[in-house]
This record gives sequence, structure tokens and C-alpha cells, in this order.
Amino acid sequence: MRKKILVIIPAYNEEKAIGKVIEDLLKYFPEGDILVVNDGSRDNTSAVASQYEGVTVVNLPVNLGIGGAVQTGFKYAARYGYDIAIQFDGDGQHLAEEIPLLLKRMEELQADMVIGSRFLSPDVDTFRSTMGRRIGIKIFEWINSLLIRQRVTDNTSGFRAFNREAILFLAENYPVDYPEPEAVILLGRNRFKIGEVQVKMRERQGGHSSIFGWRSAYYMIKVLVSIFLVALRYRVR
Amino acid sequence: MTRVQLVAIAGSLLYLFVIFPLVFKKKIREEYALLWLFFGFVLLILSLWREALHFLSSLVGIYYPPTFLLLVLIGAIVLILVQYSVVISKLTSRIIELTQELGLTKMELEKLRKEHKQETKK
Repeated sequence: MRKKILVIIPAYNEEKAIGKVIEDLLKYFPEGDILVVNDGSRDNTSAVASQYEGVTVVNLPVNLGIGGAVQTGFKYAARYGYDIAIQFDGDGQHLAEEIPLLLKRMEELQADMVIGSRFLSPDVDTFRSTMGRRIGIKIFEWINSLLIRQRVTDNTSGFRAFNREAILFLAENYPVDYPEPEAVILLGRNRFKIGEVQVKMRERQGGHSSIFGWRSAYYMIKVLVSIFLVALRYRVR
Repeated sequence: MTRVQLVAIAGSLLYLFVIFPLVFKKKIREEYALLWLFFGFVLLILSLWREALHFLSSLVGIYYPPTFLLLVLIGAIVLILVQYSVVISKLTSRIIELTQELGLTKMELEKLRKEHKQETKK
């Protein structure tokens, strides 16, 4: 039986990038349905995304942040019976043609979540973010690996594939503030199996990262606190 | 009656005069008003009843009894603020849930409208 696959694209003010992202997906990954979660954008993100045939757009009336937007996608996937959900950024850093890599890895490992990692094979040539961020990501790697005893090299990557069990779980329990590193802990602590596969990423095409400068230190501290709390708290299943 | 006691009584009464009408007119929901009212009455009673205040102060080793009133007040403020954090967090997660549901529902409505339009055209 063919699996139903949903590509979830959280988008906040991405009118410049979203069109290309959708075109790439339609071209390189036509077997997936596309869901754009427009997270209360003030630009034309919604209108641009709605132009494309076969793209579903969910407009959130207020901005929830990336976690709330992605979770909306999981709720949609849970309700409409999707077997697999792909989380895919709306700013064009992820490559649509690499989605099958994630799916293949999921099959091989029988994993519940597969993360597209920039750091798994150091010899692959790809954009790997700035020095400061790499240090932060390394710290996440150590801490998360320690806490869940599974090695995850790219905790902040937003390029991920989830199976049905993970979808159902995350539709109910998704971290809202800094979802990527937290979701790893959350799933790990609840005995989901996590895998990774090396991918390439592009530098962002439009827009700005929400995290820069002094905010990164603040971000690190906040995320670390949340991670420890999640690790202490959750064992839902 | 000492001057500080008069000030304490006046202060407690003022506090209650502010809180009570708000609760009465339901500007503050009863569940949140409980803490406010409770501490208002505690402060008033301790201001009026000197012996109790002196006894309680000596119990915790405070030499100047009116300080104990401040301690109660600070305790009340901290407790109420903590309650606010709990309430705000609860509201936040409800808003998130409602926003998501609203988004999904609007999307479904849109879809139904489109289908309906196509059917009426046929």
C-alpha cells in the first residue's frame, strides 16, 4: 500500500522564498501533499502559497511561533490519516530532492523520526552555519546524547521526517518555544527511535534567522533550561 | 493606639475597599479574588489585634511587630504573582490550541465552500 505523505511547511513572512520552495517540492517530491502553515504572516505568504494547485494553506490568525505552527501541521496530519510527515522550512534552506533520503533512512532504521543533519559526515560539502552557532549545536549534541542515549548531531535542524506514531504523539505534545532541540529530547525520553541522515543545506534565501547576536546566548540558556525540564518531566508513554 | 497601628488599620481598610468592589462587580473572578480577600482580612485582623501580632512576631523572632505585617504583605504578593504565572501559562496554551483549531477549521470551511461552488455550477 502506498504511504500517505505530508510535507509541513511552517512559514512566517516568507513571500519571497515560499514560491520557489513549493515549486521545488512539486517538481522533486510530487508524491507528497503540501501543507503550508502560515503563522500569522503580515506579508503575502498566504496568497503566494495558495496560487499553487494542490497546496493546502492553513492561516493561523495570530503568530504562534514555529512550534505552534509545526504542531498545527501534525494535527492536520493526524486528522487526515497521514502515515508520514516531513517538516520542511519555508525559507528555502532544505532541498526537496533530499526528502527520499530521509524516508529511506526511516525505513532502514525503523526509526520514528529521522533528522536531516548537516554534521553527520564532515566531508560532505554543505553550508554549515556560522562558527558561533556550530558551537551551540555541538553543546546540544553532547547534552541531548547524554540525556536520551541516542546520538543526534544536528538538534536544531528543521528538516525532519516523522512516522505515524510520532505524528500522533506530537499532535498532542509539542514544545512551543524552541521546538527543534526540545522535540528530540521529548521523543527520546518517550522511547521513540531517532535516526539521522546527512543532507545538504543552502544558506537562507530571504528573511532573517530569528536568532542572532546577543540573543543567541539568551537562546542557548533558555533552550538548555527547557531541555532539562523536558528531560525531567515528560514520560508520557 | 500607636500611630503605626492607625496607619496599618487605614492601609488594610483601603486595600479591602479597593478589592471588595472589584470582586462584587465581578471584575475579579472569585477564584482569583480568594487570595486577595484572604490576605486583606489577615492584615486587618493583625492591625486591630495587637496581642496576636506581638505573639506572632515573637514566634518568628521579629522585634518590631509592624514588620510582621510587611512580611505578610510580601508573602501575599509573592503568592499572588505565582498564581498569575500559572494562570497566564494556562491561558497561553489555551490560546495556542484555539488558534490552531481556528486555522484548521477555517481551512476546512474554505474547502467546503469551493466544493459547494463547483457543485452548484454543474
